[in-house]
Amino acid sequence: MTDVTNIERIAKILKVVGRDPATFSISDIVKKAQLGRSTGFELIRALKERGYLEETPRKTLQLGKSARSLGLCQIESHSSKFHFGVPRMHDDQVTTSLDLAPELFQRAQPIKKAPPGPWRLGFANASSSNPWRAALLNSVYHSIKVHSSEVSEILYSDAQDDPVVQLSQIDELIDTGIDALLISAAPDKQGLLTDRLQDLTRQGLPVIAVDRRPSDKDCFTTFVTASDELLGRFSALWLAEHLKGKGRVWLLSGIQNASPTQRRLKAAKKVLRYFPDIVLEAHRYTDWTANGGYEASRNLLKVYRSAPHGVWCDSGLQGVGSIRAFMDAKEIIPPHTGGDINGMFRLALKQKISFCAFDFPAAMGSKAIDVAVSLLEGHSLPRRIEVPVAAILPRGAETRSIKADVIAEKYVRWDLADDVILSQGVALRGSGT
Amino acid sequence: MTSSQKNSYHKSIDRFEYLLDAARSREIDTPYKLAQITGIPQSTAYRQIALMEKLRLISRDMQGRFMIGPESLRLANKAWDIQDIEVLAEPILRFIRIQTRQTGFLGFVANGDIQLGLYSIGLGCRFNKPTKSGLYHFLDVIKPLTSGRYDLVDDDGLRQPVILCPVVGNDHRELVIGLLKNDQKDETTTDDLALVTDVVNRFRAGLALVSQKTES
Repeated sequence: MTDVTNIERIAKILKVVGRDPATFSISDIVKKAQLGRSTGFELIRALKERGYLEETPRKTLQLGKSARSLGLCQIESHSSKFHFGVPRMHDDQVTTSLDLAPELFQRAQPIKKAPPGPWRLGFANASSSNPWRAALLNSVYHSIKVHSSEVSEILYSDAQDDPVVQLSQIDELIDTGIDALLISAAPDKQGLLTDRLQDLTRQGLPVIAVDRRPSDKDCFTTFVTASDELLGRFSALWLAEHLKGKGRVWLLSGIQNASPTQRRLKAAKKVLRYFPDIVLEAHRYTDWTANGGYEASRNLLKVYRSAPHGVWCDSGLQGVGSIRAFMDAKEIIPPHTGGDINGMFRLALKQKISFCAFDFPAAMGSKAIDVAVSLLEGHSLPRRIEVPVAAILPRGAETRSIKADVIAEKYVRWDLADDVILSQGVALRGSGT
Repeated sequence: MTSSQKNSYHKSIDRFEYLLDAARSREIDTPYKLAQITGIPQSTAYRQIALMEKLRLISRDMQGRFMIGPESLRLANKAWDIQDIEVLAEPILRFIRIQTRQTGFLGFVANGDIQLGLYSIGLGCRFNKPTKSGLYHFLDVIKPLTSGRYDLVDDDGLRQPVILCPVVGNDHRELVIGLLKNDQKDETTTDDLALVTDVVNRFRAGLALVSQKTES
């Protein structure tokens, strides 16, 4: 008799009792859990003594006090080493209120007839055109390894940000007989993907959108993402408070038609409107590339002939290029926002630039695989699943409202390359970077 | 059945609990460290961890840290006779934490006690962590439970002020959402209560949708 088999037996017993509480006698439970009579009776006795099971007046069993305490669990972890003082709200302080998306409380349709596992998954990726997207893919592959008993294979396609290409790639994936489709949608202003994806969801195929969702909310089962609103709003609030509510600001966004770009920009502008002395001098799209950020800031420096007081970037992917443009122009480097990429943290810390980063977690790729497996197992999940976004600030850069969840000096990886995305979680280990 | 065999069942439950407690701390990211902390022999611990992960009694977060798994949460909720709340509760608790920077929690009230379930740790000087067992007792007998500020005590007799707002209940237990407070002043209570009440209304709407779907 080993602990391992006993743990399996404990789980079986608790599951049987949990499924139909106060229904079965001890003999019934032993049979249903497929245990030997002697072992089953003794284990149930031990579980009763330890409070996991309790007897009802009808001599049936139900889950007990110890089982009721199993749910004590922290939903997200933070470093226990850094806790910054938080002042109380002042009357003139801009609200940091967020809206909760209604889809967080709506249920996705459960999958009625999922075939038995292990399952084959397809991932139609918009592109792997920048380090963040490569990290997303890395996180997906890492999770496939973790779920090796549930997922036999993942088929992958890269649409290079072209919705027409993505549409044909989706058909190719479907033709191979996949059990669930993950999609990170290519920018698709005309809704080219909508009809096909709607057909697939109607046919009962789980469609899990990750990071970038298709434009129509009816054409996917669940959307795994992080809050773009939080990222846009809180980074803008940090910049405005850091500038004491006054100054010229440039806005550098990602890809023009990508949904996160639009949501972050809208949220940032919403906050900046509360600060009448902040002048939004210019706005540019950068394709979330360092080169895009470099060109945008270099060209704006030519137009305005002096550096602004602050640069709001919706990601460090372009932020790192923007900082280099100021360095090359031998201008004072203004405070920047935008995290994600190790190079942004390295450069900003080295140059002692004040900055604020809200890392958009590339580890959501791993979460999307968890979600696919849960849906195929028949669990009911919300229409939208958000992964947490951490505020990362260097020492001394906190403002009235924005406090660090993680301190940048501890977060940066001096031993890793500039293009490494730190928010890919455990997939970062063994990435060879 | 020999007494050593009987003891081995308790020993197995002990190890089951050690691993769950270590995962609950959310600070351990390798099976090696988990084995070290629990004191279980390495090879046994590795096999037990693999099995508990497979059974989803423990799982890992996006950073690879061990955490309580969905099957454990489901069992706990079944034990409280409430289903499918964890996925709805997560965004709500994160929202409460962001808005108040205090510790938001889901709790179950029964027989003058409150057992905490999922929680989200607040940041800053008002940071407050639940006790290890997550179990508190009401100082006074309160029936029916209404939204408001209450004083609880933990097993060591330490006082813990909280904001509580009931969600759903029956004769045996009440599901509540609340905030652990560590100040004795009342100045933030009104705002906190309004926020938690708003959140509870959204949560109730989500639960109603769940039961509609279950019925259909």
